[in-house]
Amino acid sequence: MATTETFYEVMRRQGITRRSFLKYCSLTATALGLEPIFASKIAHAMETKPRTPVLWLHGLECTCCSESFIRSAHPLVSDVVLSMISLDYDDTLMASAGHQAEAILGEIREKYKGNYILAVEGNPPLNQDGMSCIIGGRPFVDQLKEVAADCKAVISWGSCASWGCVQAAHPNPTQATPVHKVITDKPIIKVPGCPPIAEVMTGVITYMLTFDRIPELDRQGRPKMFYGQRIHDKCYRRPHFDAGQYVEDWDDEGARKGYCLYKMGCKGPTTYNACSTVRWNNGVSFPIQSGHGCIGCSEDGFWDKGSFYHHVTTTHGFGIEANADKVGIAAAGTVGAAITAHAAASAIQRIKQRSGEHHEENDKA
Amino acid sequence: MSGSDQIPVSIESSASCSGKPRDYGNARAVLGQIRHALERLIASGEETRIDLNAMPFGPGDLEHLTNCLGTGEVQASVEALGPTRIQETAIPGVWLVDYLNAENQRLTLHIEIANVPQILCPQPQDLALAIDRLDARLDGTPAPNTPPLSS
Amino acid sequence: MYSGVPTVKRTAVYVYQAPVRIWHWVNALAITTLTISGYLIANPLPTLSGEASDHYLMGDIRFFHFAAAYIFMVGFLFRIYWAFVGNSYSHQLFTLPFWRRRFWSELVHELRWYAFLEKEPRKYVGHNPLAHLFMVVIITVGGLVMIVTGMALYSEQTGLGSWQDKLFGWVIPLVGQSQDVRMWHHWGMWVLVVFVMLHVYTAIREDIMSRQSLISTMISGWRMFKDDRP
Repeated sequence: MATTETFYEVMRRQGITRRSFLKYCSLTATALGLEPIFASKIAHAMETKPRTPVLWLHGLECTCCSESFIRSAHPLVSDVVLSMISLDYDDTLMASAGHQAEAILGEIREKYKGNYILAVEGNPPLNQDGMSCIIGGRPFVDQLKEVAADCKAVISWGSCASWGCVQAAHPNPTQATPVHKVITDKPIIKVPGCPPIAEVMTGVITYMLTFDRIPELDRQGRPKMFYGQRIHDKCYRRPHFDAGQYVEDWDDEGARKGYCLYKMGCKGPTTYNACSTVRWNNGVSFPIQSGHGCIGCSEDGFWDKGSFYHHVTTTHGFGIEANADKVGIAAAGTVGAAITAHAAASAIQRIKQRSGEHHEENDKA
Repeated sequence: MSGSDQIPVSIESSASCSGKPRDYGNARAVLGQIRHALERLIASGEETRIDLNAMPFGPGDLEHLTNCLGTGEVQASVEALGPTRIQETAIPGVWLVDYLNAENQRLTLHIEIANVPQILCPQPQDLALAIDRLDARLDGTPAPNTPPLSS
Repeated sequence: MYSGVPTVKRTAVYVYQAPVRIWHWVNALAITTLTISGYLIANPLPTLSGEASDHYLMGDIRFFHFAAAYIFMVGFLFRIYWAFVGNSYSHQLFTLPFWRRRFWSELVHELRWYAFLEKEPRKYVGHNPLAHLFMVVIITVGGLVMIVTGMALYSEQTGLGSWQDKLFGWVIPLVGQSQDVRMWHHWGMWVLVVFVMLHVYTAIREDIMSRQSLISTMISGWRMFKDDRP
């Protein structure tokens, strides 16, 4: 079985040279934000540790996570990671199909009980007995629960698995449910984003294999090294935000000069991701760099936070669309008018009372 | 008359936004780090690597740093996972290692303080197989696990 | 403690001790600064031209917001402390006589007074029941909500592991995500704006129409009664 081999042995067998390997380790250390000295640590781990079996399940999803993953900075990097893990089951990438493929799941579960990593792309729908997502003739939620029962840890790829994403958007007819609400007894690493950045995905896997532990997570279960800061904190347009220079219209002077997109509804200040540092497509660019605000795709329920072009959430449920400012101004105006009216009424009453008292006094006299 | 010539067009030169770097503060700090690393290399042989991509360099910092280090005699290139270009600086023992991908885009830039950068040295694991490999060539039979890139 | 109609005839009572009065005006200033700067953070001023390095407008606005927020918070903590060591009126802000029947009957009376259904208001040494209810709900509970949501948002820039994050970071996942916290913090501002409008109006109106002093009381500390009837 391939999983008894170390990653390095597999790499050599595939014809990857020692120097390529060292370069990969250097780049990985950089991607993980580690000191270059860690490159040798990573190299050592890969030379000595047997490959970790990974089962990659697909629920309700669009495969954008897989698409992102196989487009890591260098095509070889994803190859390297793919050979580093023993990707024993991935219904999008694997050659086997049908019963043969499904048999692998049972085999891995038995052979590597408690030792394999479960990567989940997409999420299970729970309504209608889970019928909205059928894998191998059975609801996906059943497959997920079965495979998760014996795994070491779960990686929730993308916003679907982490939060629910578009299929869980209001009113969520299929009751698509993020993985952590279905699997509650295993450590879960959320790697949100729609899709997550390729380097973030390979980085998380490499870290887990190198250091034999899951990366440090924040309160919401996301790796701190990639989701510890907001887009806004490391945005190269941040100086324009602080200076008070904003794009006011898509074709104005500010847009051409690359001013801050805050007024155009950029969700950078509320979105935790590594886009502004790692960037996309081999570090070429990211949404804000190409002139469009962040839409907050790695945040919980980003489809239900109103327009992508307003940073104050639109509140539904008042019959009409309204946001805090509109309602606030209306309320302040109404109260102001009411105060004026009340003040006038008070004054009139007081005058009446005064004259009444005056009359009483006159009568007494 | 298209009217397009009435649209005012102003071309801004990219140099206008570069500004004047203030004392190249970060480059100077890295140069200090290199000095300490050199002392360690001489005293104990300990090698050091500095990831320049992780440095918060301002405009002009990197140029100032590389200008200060100068250019030495050795230039090398490694073809593995895309090219890697190695340049000796005018300071012996200080190397610039530029990791590129297959499209010649920089992945990261390291400064390595060592006798020879690690990636240039023959690898111990490869050396272990060296005699077998040469013997196989002398016998005229290809070795069973020859990496294609180094054949 | 809630104080109702004084049984003894008196013309002046020392109600607001000096620290409470200072706190009131500092708080008023802080809330005004917070509201204006907060509104400008959510709805920035028109774009400035020129180099980014020439300006720091948003940075300054945010500085005022954070500085005023710290003053507001320190004031809040001080006010809690003063509730323990101050006079009996000083804990009105933190206690609501919810189970006292008289409180509610007087509240109804006060509402009827504002609706022009009562000819004469009653006398109160401390807050009248309506004001008391509003103070507790808006200043104490509302202030606490604004502090907690505000500090949670502030912790986003001080970063993971900062004391702000350790103390208030849990708020963000509790509410949903960062944007939701932002939205509630923003709603809170409008609640405070409406409250301040009502507060200023009723203070002026009561000063004129009621049987006791209000505005001067918050300056001198003495509650003056305009007549000797109970």
